[in-house]
Amino acid sequence: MTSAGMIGSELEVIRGQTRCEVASRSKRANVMKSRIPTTYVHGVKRVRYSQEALEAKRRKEQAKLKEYLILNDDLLAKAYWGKEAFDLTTRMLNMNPEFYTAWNYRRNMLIHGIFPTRTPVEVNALLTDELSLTTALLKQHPKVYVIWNHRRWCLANVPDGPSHTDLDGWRQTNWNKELYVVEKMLDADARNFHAWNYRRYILAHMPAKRSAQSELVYTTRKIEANFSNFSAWHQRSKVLISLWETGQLDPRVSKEEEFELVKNAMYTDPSDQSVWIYHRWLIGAGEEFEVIQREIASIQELLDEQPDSKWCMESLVFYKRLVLRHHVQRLTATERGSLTQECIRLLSGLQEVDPSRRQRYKDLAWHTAAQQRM
Amino acid sequence: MDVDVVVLGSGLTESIAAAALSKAGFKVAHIDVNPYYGGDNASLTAEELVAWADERASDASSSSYVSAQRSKFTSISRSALPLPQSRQYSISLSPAVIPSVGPLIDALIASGVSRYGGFKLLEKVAIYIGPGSVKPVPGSKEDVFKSKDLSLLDKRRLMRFLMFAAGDFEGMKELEGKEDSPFTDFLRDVFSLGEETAAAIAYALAFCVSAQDPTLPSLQRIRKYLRSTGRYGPSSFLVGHYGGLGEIAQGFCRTAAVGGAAYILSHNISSVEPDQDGRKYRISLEGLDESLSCDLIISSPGYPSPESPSPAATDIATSSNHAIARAITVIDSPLSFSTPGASSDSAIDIPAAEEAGVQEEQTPSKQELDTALLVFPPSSLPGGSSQAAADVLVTGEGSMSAPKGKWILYLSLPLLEQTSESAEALLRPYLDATLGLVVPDPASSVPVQPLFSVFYIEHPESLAAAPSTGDASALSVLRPPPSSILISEQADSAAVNAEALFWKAVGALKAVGRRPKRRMDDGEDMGEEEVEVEGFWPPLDTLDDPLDDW
Amino acid sequence: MSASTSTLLIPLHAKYVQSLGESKDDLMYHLTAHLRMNAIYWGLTALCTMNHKDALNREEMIEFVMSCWDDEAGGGFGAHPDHDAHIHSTLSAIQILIMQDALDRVDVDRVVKFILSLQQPSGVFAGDQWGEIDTRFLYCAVNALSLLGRLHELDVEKTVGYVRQCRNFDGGFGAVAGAESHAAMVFVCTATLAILDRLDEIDQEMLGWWLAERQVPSGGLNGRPEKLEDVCYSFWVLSAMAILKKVPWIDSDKLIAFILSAQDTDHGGIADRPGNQADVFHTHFGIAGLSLLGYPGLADLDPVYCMPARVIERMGLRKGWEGLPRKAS
Repeated sequence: MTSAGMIGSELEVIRGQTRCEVASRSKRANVMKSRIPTTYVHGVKRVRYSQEALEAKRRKEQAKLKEYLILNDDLLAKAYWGKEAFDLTTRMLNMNPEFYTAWNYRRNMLIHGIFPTRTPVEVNALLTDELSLTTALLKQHPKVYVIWNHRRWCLANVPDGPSHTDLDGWRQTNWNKELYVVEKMLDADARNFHAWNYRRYILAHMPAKRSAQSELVYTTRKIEANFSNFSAWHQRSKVLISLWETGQLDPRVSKEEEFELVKNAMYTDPSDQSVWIYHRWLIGAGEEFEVIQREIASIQELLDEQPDSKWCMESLVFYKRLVLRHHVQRLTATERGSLTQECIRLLSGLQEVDPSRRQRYKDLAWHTAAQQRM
Repeated sequence: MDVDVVVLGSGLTESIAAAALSKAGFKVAHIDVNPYYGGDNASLTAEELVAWADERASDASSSSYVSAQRSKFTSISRSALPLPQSRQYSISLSPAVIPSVGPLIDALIASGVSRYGGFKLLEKVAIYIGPGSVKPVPGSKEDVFKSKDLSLLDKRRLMRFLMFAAGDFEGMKELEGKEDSPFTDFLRDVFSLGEETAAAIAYALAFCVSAQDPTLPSLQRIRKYLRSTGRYGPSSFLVGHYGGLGEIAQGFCRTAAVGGAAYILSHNISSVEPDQDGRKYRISLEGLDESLSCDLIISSPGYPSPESPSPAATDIATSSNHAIARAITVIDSPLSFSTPGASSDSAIDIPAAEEAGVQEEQTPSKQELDTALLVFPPSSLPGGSSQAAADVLVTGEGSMSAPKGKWILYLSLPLLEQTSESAEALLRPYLDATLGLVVPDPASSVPVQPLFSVFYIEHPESLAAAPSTGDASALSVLRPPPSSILISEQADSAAVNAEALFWKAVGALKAVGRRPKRRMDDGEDMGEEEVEVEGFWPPLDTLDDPLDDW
Repeated sequence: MSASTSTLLIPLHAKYVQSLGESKDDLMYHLTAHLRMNAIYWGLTALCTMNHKDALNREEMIEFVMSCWDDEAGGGFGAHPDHDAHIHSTLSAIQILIMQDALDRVDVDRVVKFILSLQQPSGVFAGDQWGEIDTRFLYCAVNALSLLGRLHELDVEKTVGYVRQCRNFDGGFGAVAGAESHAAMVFVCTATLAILDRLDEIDQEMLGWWLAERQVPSGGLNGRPEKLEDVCYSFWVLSAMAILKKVPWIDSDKLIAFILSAQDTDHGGIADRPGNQADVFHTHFGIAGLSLLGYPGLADLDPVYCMPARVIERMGLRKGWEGLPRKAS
């Protein structure tokens, strides 16, 4: 997104707790502002408005309530199938896209009433309209499960065509568009797990697959835009596994590049969890003794520059305990003893810098000592 | 016409104050001599800009306003016309970038003016390091992470500084006793930052004018900009559509008018004087029979006021602000800030064929800049200033300020010492260096030539010229203080000054017994009701209700 | 804020939950009809945890639940009369009926058949006939079958197999295979494995670490790394920690203070964050979190079934979880 566009009159910003980036709230959060006992809302501020504005709002709402209830009764009667009933669901879903029964009714009409009377060209066009409707709704409600689900249903129902020689043509066009839509959704909120799950679904099911390599490039772009975005690191871990398993990338070379990338992030912000979790994934079960030793040394250097870094200490404990567990045969008794002592010393340091999790560090110290005695 | 307050001049500060007074329930008349809104902050078409420059460059006798303007804007030169599509330009007399978190954005949102305007994110800020070569300014965690120029240790140190600057540093031991010492020294001594990194921070992150700028205000600016990132996108700054501050000033005027303010443009002021019993001012305008009567005047520099009915050139004296040499240049080839061979963007190369099915995937080549800022630190340019930093704001079609394929460059160089050199001579080296960053047209071997240029020197307003208020007479005249000259601070300082002006005006009006009134719409009973002034902006009357989308 | 936020305002919240059914003139009440069954379950469970179960009329509630029976769908409950059957509202309906000791009103065989019909070849469950899949629905199925005493009809290996596919290297679980770990899905997967006595599927030390790191400096819990805290995670995270017996791994005092600070001290109810609009969902999960933290004056809440512990114990379904000991008031 390059253009900031209009500044919303209620645009509000929630600041991250620990650092200076800011995530703008989704539009969904602005749905209701006055004192109405709502059932299920996130991030809606209690806001004061002028008396006049509230009164006007109340009047408007009463009118809408009336309209809504009539619509609701008509719809739930489900008495007829036809254009009128279909349009009814469109209006209803624009008002309340979480109304799953209205989606079901709509799909039933499409499958049993409409599709059988239409040509494949028309069915394809109808499904394109359905997708447009859900695109518009997702912009307003990016975290509503049933909207995402309706998209999946649409895609699954795209007919063969446009010709006998090109049976996947329509499907491919539609699925390609999906990738574009989901990228827009992730531009708006890079942590939206609905969008990420949908993205994986699209990549796995599209008729002509995109290369895993280009998905790796996509995660690079998302991580460069904000490396606190653990969703992108997670996706990267999944993509790399597939690239390694299919032999498209040499795991040894590729892992070294990943260690370099993540090291840059560790030095830039040692307090960012996402980076350390990804590093932990890279180390994995810690089979490679040299790699784990080298990484321990590198984290130690960072800790020397940043002596209060909780994540340096926490990770050192984790990796040293991993060495004690998996490479114990490479260690002399003295080395074992000193590794254990280092862990216990770091764990007592952690109790100081991270008192909220003190009991966990105590428990780990106790276990580490107990293992040494065994 | 009898009003509570007459505002003379429609610069941004005055326009915000007029809108706030109007919304609070005061009767406002707002007057500008010019045929456009915005005064010295106006956004003009290319034609209007030429007329503006020529009027100020000529010696023909004219109104007192124009002669004051001639003292304020000197050393004017321009290239010959024609400039094709000249009406499709919105050229700003006060180029500015607006921090996404700050008093101006607050005022835009709280007043509802935001709905009249659009904004574009500033794409890039870069620092000039040598001919044809610039470096991006690592102003965020992501920039530091991606940077190929910084070592791991540099990354850690720079980030430590940025975290410090983003936090509540007042009273911290790192800053103790160093609040007033030069900022560049502070960066070097306290955070062990190298010279190049320190220069990038001081001039392109804090927008310091010189190496002498003190530490505390520089840190405070950086904090504001860091906290601005992410609000509307990755950049801290917005650039207003259609020429920026002039368009925004006009938006506030529109809101004032909606609140009932009267607007009169294109009229010279023939007299401003107290009426017979000395309780009100009477203002007469050329070409208008009816005069205005008011309790309070807010008068921009260059406008007559009762104490000095005809502002003399001597009004324009030194203030805390520096004079600025300015150039406005139109080019028809885009600039690029990517240093050859060292671009981190080009590292991302999406296989084109794969993306073909994906409509208009923004290929991240991003060679061409639409809206960007380039900073020249002191001594970075042979023939340039060794004392002051200069900046170049680029705005293109994306900010709705230029036709497609055209870009406007705004060069600004603060003049720390008296100089006899012309604006053009002072800025020519900067302009040439900037044109050296143009993306070369492979079809042409001719170096890029500007289509059009204006050069001038803008002198600061005099603070001394503001008459004191609260003298023997009960009448008062308020004069808006000058805005900051920093490209990143001008907008916010106008908003801060406007709020101070607003409260002074409210105080002065209260003192003469004027109360704000608001229209009541009680079904049958239409009338006015006295209200209290509760804040700079009253609650918004209309809710932006998503349910309206039904 | 008119009242102190350092204590849980039990009578006020009870009144708030009670008042939710009285807002039928509000548009929002009708816009949320598709969540009504769940909302009643949240409200009733919150009242039970606050020892105010009788604040809502038992007969009316049972009548409402039974009016949501969807005969056409073959044995499930919708969220509201005339809404289609869904596994989520079906679980809520069963939970409500059990809390009200009225399970005899239901044709259990048909409910079991409806639930089992939703299991997919992969082992996951769909929410309804339209095929949306999610570990949340898998939990709904396992929880409901367990409450109905019909777990033996479930293909446990297949079910556990899908949960295993959703496990990530950080110890957590996602909504579908391949998805990022998320505290809500960690809860549903952990609770599912607890019901099926398969906690050996979990890397307990790793997951305990991931869960403990959900606490942010404000004291609240987030649902994923580098995200904002939210009162509802007080339950998602804490329930999984209680099942792993690791609740002491976070700072309970700070979390209690955070939940209490999100109370609406004027009108009752708890919001997602301080200063925000309260709702019954966050009210329930905030109080549920407080119960697991041993907050005085509350009844024990079973973190596996998210129902009053007394009810679950009476049914002989209690698993080996541990919250913090109840504090004296």
